Amino acid sequence: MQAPVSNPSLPGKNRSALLRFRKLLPLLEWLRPRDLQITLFFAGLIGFLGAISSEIFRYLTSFANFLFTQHQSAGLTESFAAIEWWQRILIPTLGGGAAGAVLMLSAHFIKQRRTTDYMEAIVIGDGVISTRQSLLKSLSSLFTISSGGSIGREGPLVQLSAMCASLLGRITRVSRPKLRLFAACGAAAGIASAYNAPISGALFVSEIVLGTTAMEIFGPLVFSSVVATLTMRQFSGGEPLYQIPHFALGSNGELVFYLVLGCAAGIVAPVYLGFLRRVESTAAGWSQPVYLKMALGGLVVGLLAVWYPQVCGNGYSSVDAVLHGRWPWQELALVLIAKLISTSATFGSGAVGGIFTPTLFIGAGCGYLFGTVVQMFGGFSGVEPGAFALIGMGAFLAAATRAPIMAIMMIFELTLDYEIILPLMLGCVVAYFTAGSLPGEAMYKETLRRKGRWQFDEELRRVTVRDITKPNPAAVLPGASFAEICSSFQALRHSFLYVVEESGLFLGVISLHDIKRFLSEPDLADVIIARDLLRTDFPVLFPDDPLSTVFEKFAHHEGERVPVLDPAGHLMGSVSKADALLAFAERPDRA
Amino acid sequence: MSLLAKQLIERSCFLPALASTTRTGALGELTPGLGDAVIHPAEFFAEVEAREAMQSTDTGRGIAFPHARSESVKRLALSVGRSAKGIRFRDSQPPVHLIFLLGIPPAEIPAYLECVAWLVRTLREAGVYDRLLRAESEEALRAVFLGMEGKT
Repeated sequence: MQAPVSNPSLPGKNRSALLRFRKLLPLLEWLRPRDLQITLFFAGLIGFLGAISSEIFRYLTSFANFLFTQHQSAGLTESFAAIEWWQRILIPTLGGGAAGAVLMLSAHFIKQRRTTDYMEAIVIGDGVISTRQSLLKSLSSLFTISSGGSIGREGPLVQLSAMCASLLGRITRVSRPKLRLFAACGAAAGIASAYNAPISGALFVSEIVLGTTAMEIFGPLVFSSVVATLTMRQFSGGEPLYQIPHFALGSNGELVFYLVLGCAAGIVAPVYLGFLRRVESTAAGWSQPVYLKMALGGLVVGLLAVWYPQVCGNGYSSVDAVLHGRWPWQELALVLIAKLISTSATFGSGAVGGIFTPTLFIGAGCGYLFGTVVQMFGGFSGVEPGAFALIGMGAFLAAATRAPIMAIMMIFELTLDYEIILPLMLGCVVAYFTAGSLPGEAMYKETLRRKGRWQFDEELRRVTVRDITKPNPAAVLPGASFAEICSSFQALRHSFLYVVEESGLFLGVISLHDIKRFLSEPDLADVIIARDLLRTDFPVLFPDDPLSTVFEKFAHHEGERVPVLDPAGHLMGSVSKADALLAFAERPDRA
Repeated sequence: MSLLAKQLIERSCFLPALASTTRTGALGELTPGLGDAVIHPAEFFAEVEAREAMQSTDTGRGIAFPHARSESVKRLALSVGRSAKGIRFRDSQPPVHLIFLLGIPPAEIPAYLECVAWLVRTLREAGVYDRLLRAESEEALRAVFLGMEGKT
């Protein structure tokens, strides 16, 4: 607790202080940064750091790919298409082995039990993401991706960004809930810079990871995403990720087909996820060392790449080809199967990376094939299979992640084509509800569940008032003058000022609401002291109270903070509504 | 003059000549003047004394505002006393000639502040303090305040 304000006894001094306060009040009120503004500042800094780390990783991936293939091409698919058949087999195999070796060394030399997974750190952890392990995992991912592994680089981009945010939070010694928010901002910045999609970056974290769009959380996420995107655009321009032909809805009747496509995506997506998990669990049962497993995963990709180099990488250029209709449907069907096998092999072998972009390709491919069928038999001459590819991509994403709003915004931001928004919304929502009615869990929820759902409940039980208490709340003594009370309100910008004895014994609060009409009454400085304004009917918390008690208190209390007392009634600190909300956002049933 | 302050003055008790020469004695004289607004006068009196002990309400200009927010008070009430000789509230300050004893229910903080602010503001006006000292009766004392209507 801060030292309570003492009470000078000079009436004239009190009055002049009050008059000064009156004159300066509007300016000081305007200038003083609030907690949310400070959080937004750090969210912006996190966005910047996230974008820089993403750009560095992108550069390193391209450079490593050049070292592997000796070809400076626009993408992985192109560089693999340009090399000999035996190189297409050898490079992913060696890259997979190297990636596995890095993971083995990481497990061998770093014994710390800190989590490396950003999602785990945000949802069930304390917001701390191990820097060394994250860097080693990213190095492993670098080997996998640059050697043609069929996996997305958004995984390491988000991981690195969240790691930077967590590191910043630890350096600045923020509270545990705030550290989780920082890590979440880092993840949002990573997604935003990976896809040049600021809205989707914020929505990905709020809808999938945190399960809440409360403004105290969503605001910083948006801020971080925007700064990350603006920073990225300094490096790579502001063009959308996919340059697509213009698609227009020919007639309202076409919407029926998009509705059917949504249903189909809702059925296929859980099957796709189930297949990936079966491969992963089968590979996990093998006793071979991880570098051998990952080398084998690379070998499968390499063998497929001999005929279909499109399977290499995250599938970005393949999606582009599908959207522009560069492949006949027969070839696309074969590439789709090959891509599904290669992604399963890479993901199942334990490679570090994301399956977000590969999922987009599977959705686009399925949508294109569906569109081709509609074009052939649907009776609509103007139907473009490419448009179905686009909607299929969104619907498949919505069904796989169970985050339809994020999916709609992601496709919109990837293409910046407003014409597609109506069929896109329809397809995504239908896919979401269809997938929800089938067995199986969402892409990321399954990941978290496997990390131990019991840990969530244990964590929730462990969250008490003590964990989210901010120490050293400002307070005044009962003899503090009216001028001192006004100055304290101005400095704190809270609605309630705590009053304590010199021993720290909590007496009650002074409400700003009670006195705000009289701030312009300097004469009161001689007569009124804190004790005269004391309210004792004020909610209090104790350190061992659970989170549920905090919300009970706030449900019947208009203030932003509630004081925390020790069992003897001494003021220990305060709990803010914002910190309680942050802790609430990490509840397991909302993960 | 606010309606609240006007009602308070109209209801209040004025003692133009306090007999006591000590703070405690003066407060003892003034407390009954609060009438039925105070349910337990002894408890209220003790709380006023405690408040004075914590920090004197003597303004240093011959006026004091002893008061207490108390469960013993059921409505805002005022009792005004005048002492020609003066009463020492604080040794370091000149004697107090006008005492305004306020009883305040715990919940009525804004009403209490409004009345105190009005009293202090009124007493700062030129001539008011002297007129109060010169007023010859309870009615004359009350009239000084009520005569301020429309001026504050």
